[in-house]
Amino acid sequence: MDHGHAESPRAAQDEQELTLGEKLFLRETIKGMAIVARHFWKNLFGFRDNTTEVLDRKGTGVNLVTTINYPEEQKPYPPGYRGMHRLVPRVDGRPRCVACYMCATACPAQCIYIEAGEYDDQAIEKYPVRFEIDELRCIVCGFCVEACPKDAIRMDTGTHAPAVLSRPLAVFDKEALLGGAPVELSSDSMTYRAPLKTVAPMGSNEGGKKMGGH
Amino acid sequence: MDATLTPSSRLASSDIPTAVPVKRTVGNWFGWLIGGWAMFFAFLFGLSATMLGVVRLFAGFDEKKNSVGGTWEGVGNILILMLVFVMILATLLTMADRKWSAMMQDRVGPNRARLPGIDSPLAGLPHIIADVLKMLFKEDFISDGAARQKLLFNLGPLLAFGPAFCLFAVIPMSPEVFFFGKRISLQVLHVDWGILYVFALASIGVFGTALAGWSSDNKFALLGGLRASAQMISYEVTLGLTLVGAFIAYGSVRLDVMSELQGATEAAIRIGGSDPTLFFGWLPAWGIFMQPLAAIFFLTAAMAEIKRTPFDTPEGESEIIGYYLEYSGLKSGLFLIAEYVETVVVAGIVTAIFLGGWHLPWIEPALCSVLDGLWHGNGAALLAIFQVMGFIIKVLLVIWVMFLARWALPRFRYDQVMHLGWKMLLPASLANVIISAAAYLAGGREAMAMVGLVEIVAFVGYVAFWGKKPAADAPDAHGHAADPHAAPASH
Amino acid sequence: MSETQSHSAGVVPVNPDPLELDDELPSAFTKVKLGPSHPATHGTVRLNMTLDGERIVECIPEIGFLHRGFSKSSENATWHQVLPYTDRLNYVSPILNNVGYIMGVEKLIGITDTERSKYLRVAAGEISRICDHLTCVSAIGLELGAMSAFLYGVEAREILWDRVAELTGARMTTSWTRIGGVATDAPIGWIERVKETIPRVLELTDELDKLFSKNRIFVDRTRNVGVIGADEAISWGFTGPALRASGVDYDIRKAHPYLVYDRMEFSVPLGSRGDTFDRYLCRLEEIRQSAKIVLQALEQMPPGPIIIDDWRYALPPKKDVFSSIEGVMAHFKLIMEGIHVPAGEVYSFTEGSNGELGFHLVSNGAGKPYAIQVRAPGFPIVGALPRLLHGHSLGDLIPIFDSINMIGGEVEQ
Repeated sequence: MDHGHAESPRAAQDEQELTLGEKLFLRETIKGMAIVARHFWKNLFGFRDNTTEVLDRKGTGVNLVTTINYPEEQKPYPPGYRGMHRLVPRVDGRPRCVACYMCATACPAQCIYIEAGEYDDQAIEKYPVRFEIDELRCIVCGFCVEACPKDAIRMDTGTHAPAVLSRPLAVFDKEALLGGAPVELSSDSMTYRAPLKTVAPMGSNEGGKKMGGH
Repeated sequence: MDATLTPSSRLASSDIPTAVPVKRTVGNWFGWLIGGWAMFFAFLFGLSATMLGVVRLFAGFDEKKNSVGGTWEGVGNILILMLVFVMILATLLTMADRKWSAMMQDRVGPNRARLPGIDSPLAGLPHIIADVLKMLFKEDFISDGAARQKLLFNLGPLLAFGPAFCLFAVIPMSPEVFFFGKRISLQVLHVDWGILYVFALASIGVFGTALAGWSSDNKFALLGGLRASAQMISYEVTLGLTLVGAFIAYGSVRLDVMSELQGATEAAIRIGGSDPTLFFGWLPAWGIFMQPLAAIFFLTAAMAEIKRTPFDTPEGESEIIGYYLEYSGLKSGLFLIAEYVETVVVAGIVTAIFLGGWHLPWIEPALCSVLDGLWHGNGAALLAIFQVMGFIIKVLLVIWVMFLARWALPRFRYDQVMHLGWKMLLPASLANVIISAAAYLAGGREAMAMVGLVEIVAFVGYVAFWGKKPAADAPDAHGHAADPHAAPASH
Repeated sequence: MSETQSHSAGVVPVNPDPLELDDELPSAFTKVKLGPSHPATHGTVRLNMTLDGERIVECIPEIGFLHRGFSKSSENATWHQVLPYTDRLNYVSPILNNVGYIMGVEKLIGITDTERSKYLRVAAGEISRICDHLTCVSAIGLELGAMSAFLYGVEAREILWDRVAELTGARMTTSWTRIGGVATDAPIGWIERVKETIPRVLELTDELDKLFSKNRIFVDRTRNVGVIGADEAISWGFTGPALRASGVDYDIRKAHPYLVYDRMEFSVPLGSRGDTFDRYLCRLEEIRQSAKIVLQALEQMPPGPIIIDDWRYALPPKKDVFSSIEGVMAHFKLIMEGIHVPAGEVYSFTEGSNGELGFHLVSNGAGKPYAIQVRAPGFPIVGALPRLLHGHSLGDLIPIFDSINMIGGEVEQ
């Protein structure tokens, strides 16, 4: 196939031969060292700006350091980051979940275990007696959030599954998962994103009405 | 699941740590900058004064007051220079290497170790303690194969570390000076064979690496040992030849004589006025101005000799891991610290021969007369403190350059190291010997400085200007022209 | 060792039997096993090598330490659930795998995604490609000892991954595409963020370029090392940058344009010698070209839906699920039964970061794939490792192995 080469690749390649100056090692060596030294001096004399995102760290006196002293300093995850699950509560504190098993079905890692129960005298008939997520099995794909027809499970906690010292501790039950801001009306938490450069408060229930939005 | 294991409180918001904003104003930062450097220089001043003071203390036991080189002064020097200065500096360098590399690579660097009660990383300094403790208390594991040659296996790190440790003995850190009524100098050995001692002992280090490689009973280690011995022996030659120009210039192989000759003599300093040794009246009589290329060659060859990147083929951690592959614990630590000690020594030699040793450029006589006024005619002793400081700062600078090369440059291949040593550095240093000798015969050291200046100008021209093409970007992109019928989709 | 293998220039042929040399001392080949956990083996791979001194006589790569059973696992998941598996094929550029797989499924069904989704896929895919090439290029530097260059490359990759996280919700395990579209739209302000990011990435790429491309130490290590000619590269099944470094002008984005690549203006860098240095240069240049594509795609991206409005394949919008019985029914059926892909067989190929990423999908009409096979771009290239390494010294192994960019996840599926 030909998409219109001006010259043969070979001709252009031969220009790539090192010149004598480059063959003497020293010039390119010194240039390379100068690049690294520039980083060194900038970082030595600058102060570290750990509160803004890497890309926004500019200005006089700000050094180029991109890493942070984890865990004393933590970088907030962007809005919409798929973090630790939470079971969304209703305003009265009970889970929104109606134990429809959609999330457990959609889960590729089969990490969700649900046992359904019935309320006696409620408009809402079903609720999960047990709702457990094995965070060691979870692959954080977000399919459960997408599959939920009740907006009852979200991954907007802004944190990740914590480190545990034994495997059973990684199985999060209903009490552990239930938390965050309560939600009365379903909203599309998967596709709605808070605009960037603002940190969405944990479990915020603002907006979230439409998808594909610009 | 057992209810007691339920981590119900895990998601309580108090458990989720949040970023702690660090508020720093520019003024605050400026204060840190000034304060930090002031502390650094104060520390250096204190260190220098202490070193001189301790040596004076020991030298007090000697009989003669007006000559250096007494037994007790030697003991004091061994203690203060080799055991304290070199070892402490080498230990600090293990940390500096990590912290400086972090700065070069836009990282925070080591920050986890904490001193008890202090909740601050202290710029990573506690890691030194952590490292040492780790090295000391790690299991000293000896594989079955190595156990068969246990003696040689154990001898390896000793032979690598021992000679390196002894090397600093001939390096002078201060001039001979009357310090509180006693003539002392910060140098262990005042011997005529000076630098030859370094060459002789440095070659012993080969045994350490070769033995380590062989007795480890590991193919990777053996390859590393072979590479190391070949490389170190090859670079011995170049190492010596690069310095011949300097020998010609100073007429001595004694490092203290070489250092002495690169600045005002003691008598000139006491007289005051301007430094009479300045070339052409303005250029410090430093070796680097007489032998600029030799300085670069020597630094290169020395880095190859001590096997630092980009010449670390014997280690080459991503290829063959290295001759110390089978070592653990303190023995491994000895190999590592030997490398840092060698770094300090090389920096010391470069400083002593090429960077004027302890001499401060231009200001020595003037500074001395100022200090005389400050302290009842004892200016020379005070000046010595500043001179030691100058020496330490120069050493740190050379070390920094070596580390810079280490982190910036890729590694040579084994045969390319040999190629560089035998086919490029060796002829170049031979040519340097001839040119230097001719210049010296023509007009002594001033003529050498003239040649050196020409070399420096040529070198700067080569680095900065020669072969600079008008910005030829995208060297390899000459592929497809844009697809002509690709209409950009309307927005 | 086959006698028919051609020896590349500058490589001395290995004497087949050292015992018949005229030396007084007999010598024997050394057998060295490099890996599976060795600093130079990025994934887990073992190289069984026979060395003559330092020269490699024979090298047998041994893969399979990371065996993940991709094909078999996929047969037990719905078409949709295969997606997370594809993240983990080439884990450095997951979006390209997502796109490649989903395009295969769409081809099998016979649908195309929406216009906006096409642009999003192209933009995000090219960001992924930049990440992959940055990793490869800077890792060559790392293994050759230039640690700083590696971290500059990683820094550039990191800020791109921040953008990926803002777009998809995860840095590496994106699982972002959906049949008929993509999962999430670009959040407000994302396009501007990318436009701020790309110049910084290019700046760091230029630093890599300056540190390596003219540095004789680097050039000596890579020039004329691991040379493979165009014909041979084709017959070994090379694709992608490794093939283009040998001078073969084959880029699927140009040769068989998919998505909106035919509307993008970019050039395909070609090498001429097929050595390690060419492979390095090609990738470096592709970073710049991909950056161009990203900016163009973001510029041209039209507004509109990000996923098709066909409830047989795409989940209904959440507002329909929450409020209408039809929506809930479609939602439940899709989740429970999976997407019913018509029976058939299809081979779909896209340009992955390492070359042709092909998915051979077989459906029997049920909600789950009958069979899925991946043509991983890295697999044939790793297969050619013995050929590339033959006759070179042990020190050359590092740049050669790095430049083919073996990714354990895709090679050992």
